[in-house]
Amino acid sequence: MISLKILRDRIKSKLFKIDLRDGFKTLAVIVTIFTILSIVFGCKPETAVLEKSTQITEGVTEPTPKITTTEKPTTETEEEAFKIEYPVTVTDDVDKEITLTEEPDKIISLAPGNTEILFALDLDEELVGVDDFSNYPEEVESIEKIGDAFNLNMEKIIELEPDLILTLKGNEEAVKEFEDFGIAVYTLDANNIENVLEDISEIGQLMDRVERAEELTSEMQEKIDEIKTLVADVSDEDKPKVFYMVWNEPIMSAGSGTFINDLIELANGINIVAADGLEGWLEYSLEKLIEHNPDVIIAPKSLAPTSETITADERFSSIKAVLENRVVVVDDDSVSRIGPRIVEGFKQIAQALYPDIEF
Amino acid sequence: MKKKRKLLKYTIFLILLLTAAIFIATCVGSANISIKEILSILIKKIPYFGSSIKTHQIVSLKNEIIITQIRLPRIVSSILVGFVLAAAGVIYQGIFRNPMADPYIIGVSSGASLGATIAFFLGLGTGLLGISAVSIMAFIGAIIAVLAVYQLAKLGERVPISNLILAGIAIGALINSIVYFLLIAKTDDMQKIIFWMLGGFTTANWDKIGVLLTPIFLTFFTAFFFLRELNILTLGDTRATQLGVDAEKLRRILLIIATLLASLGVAIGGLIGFIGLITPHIMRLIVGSDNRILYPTSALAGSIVLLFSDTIARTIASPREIPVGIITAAIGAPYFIYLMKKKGREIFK
Repeated sequence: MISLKILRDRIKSKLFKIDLRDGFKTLAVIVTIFTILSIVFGCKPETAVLEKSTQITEGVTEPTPKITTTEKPTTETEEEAFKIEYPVTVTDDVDKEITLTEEPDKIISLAPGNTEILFALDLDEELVGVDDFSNYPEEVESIEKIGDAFNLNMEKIIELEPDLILTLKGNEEAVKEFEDFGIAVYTLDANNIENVLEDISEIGQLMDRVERAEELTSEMQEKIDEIKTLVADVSDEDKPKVFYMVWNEPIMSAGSGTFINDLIELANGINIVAADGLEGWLEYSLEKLIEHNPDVIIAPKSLAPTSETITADERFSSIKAVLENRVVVVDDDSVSRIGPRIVEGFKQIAQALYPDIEF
Repeated sequence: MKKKRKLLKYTIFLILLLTAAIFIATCVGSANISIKEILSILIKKIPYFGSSIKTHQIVSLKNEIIITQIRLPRIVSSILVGFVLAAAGVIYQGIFRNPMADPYIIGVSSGASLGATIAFFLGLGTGLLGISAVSIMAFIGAIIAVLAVYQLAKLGERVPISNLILAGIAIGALINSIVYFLLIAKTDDMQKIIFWMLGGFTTANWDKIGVLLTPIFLTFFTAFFFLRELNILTLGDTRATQLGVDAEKLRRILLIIATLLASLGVAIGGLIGFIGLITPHIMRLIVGSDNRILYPTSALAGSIVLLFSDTIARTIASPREIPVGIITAAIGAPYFIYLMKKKGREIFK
């Protein structure tokens, strides 16, 4: 859902500049221009991100020289050994170096996934502001809301005096403004599950929660590996053909370079959209969907509260997934948020692909 | 007599062109289906004696669904929408005596988008008779918006054109601010609404066509009784009154007809721009400005242009879909500019 968020964000940033007298035409023109641009340059951001992610992988698996962990004298307890010595420098998902000279006391999160990471790292005390969509875990209710990623309450954010802001990619204008105010901004743009783990450990470094981050990521990695092992011995011809239906009118799906595609492929399924060589989020041909005849259709709860939304639709009546009752609804938040619950999302996808295996 | 022959000539030519376009559009698509199989599917579907004709082609159920339930309704939908939008465009341009008038000029688009947004906002799912709630709300919204504009523009018995256009702008602005507010308030639905506003035929189905076909043609043919008077109306109100035409009454009737046509189009295809504005101008350059010829030929031309555009939209980047509005503008605008330059005269007189 990341790129959809970016789309909304771009649209919004234009909305306010629209002269209301002919707002409608302006909107139409903007949308048209945007769509043309996205067709012409559509694949670029995704590929750029993929390249970046590999760089990040390298940076993390090897010991990062930028982070100075205290030397580990034998007398010290293990807890102290994980103490981070500031200044700390990490590189975020948009290849920007962030240096913190001291441990931040106040953090603001601009996306629900970011909020979930902070909670999982026991940073709820430091979290002074979250975006309106942050709804998990429950404790988030008591934290000040600062608008949403594309409708930020700038005054409120500055008033809260954060030392660090976590945001998703697609908010460049606001990020620049924060940096002008001297606030450090870490941008997340994970497109696969590995990226999420890296983001978590980097945030752990920034916030001096290395140990907790280590614990969390290895726990997540363990569950991921467990699921991967369970589906490992499926032969290529037994791999189910999968269609992820982001939306039904028009039909929208996700090709390679998206989070969803990563989850489907990790779970040993064939994403028919990626198999067509398509990248990113896109409108997909209904004819082609019927022709591909997928074994499984996965839909997020936001589209289909129950699988009936899909199965009752006559247009899909000849598709194998519908005939064999293999339309599965998954929880949007788990499969799309860059956060610890992605493991749960992965499990749901794997379960959809292999109903007979107990995950 | 000359007029009749001219009308007949252009109509036959356009119908032939449309038939060819339908044939091509049926044969191309994302799914690879052989022409032989497509023909067998179509023959099978001929009512009464279709099933008795033997074809030696094996037809798969999957392909039959693709052709009869997806490709054909989509083709018919784009034909109908192009037809009504271009027809409405001719009438609006005639009554407003304004080359910038399009089917959306006095509130159809903003009213429809408010209706659709409310439907999304309230999460209204299935509508009536196989038509989605969004389409129904868009239709109702369009009609209400135009009625409001008309009432606001009214000065006693008279409804001056400039008042209509200005009231249209004011109501449009007001409605758009409500739409934007709803979009911001419930951002989850934003991209659905934006996609609807872009218009398109990916959700075309026979139920919708079946329900809307009769009203479309009834409205379309009703206009024929007033086309001669519309010609007179373009000379100006004073002149029209001298010639015994009740300009106010005629304008009211034609406004109702054109608004109904545009709203029916919106109910099928969402907001599709450009067709209703440019097709009448293109046809005016070709057949002249006699509304009795311009009206039916523009409608047919609108069908051809939109069918052609939608066929490109669904095939050019297949299996990716491209919003049809991009294609209509991309082929319509250069062709229009070419015609304008070639004719080298003032287009709208």
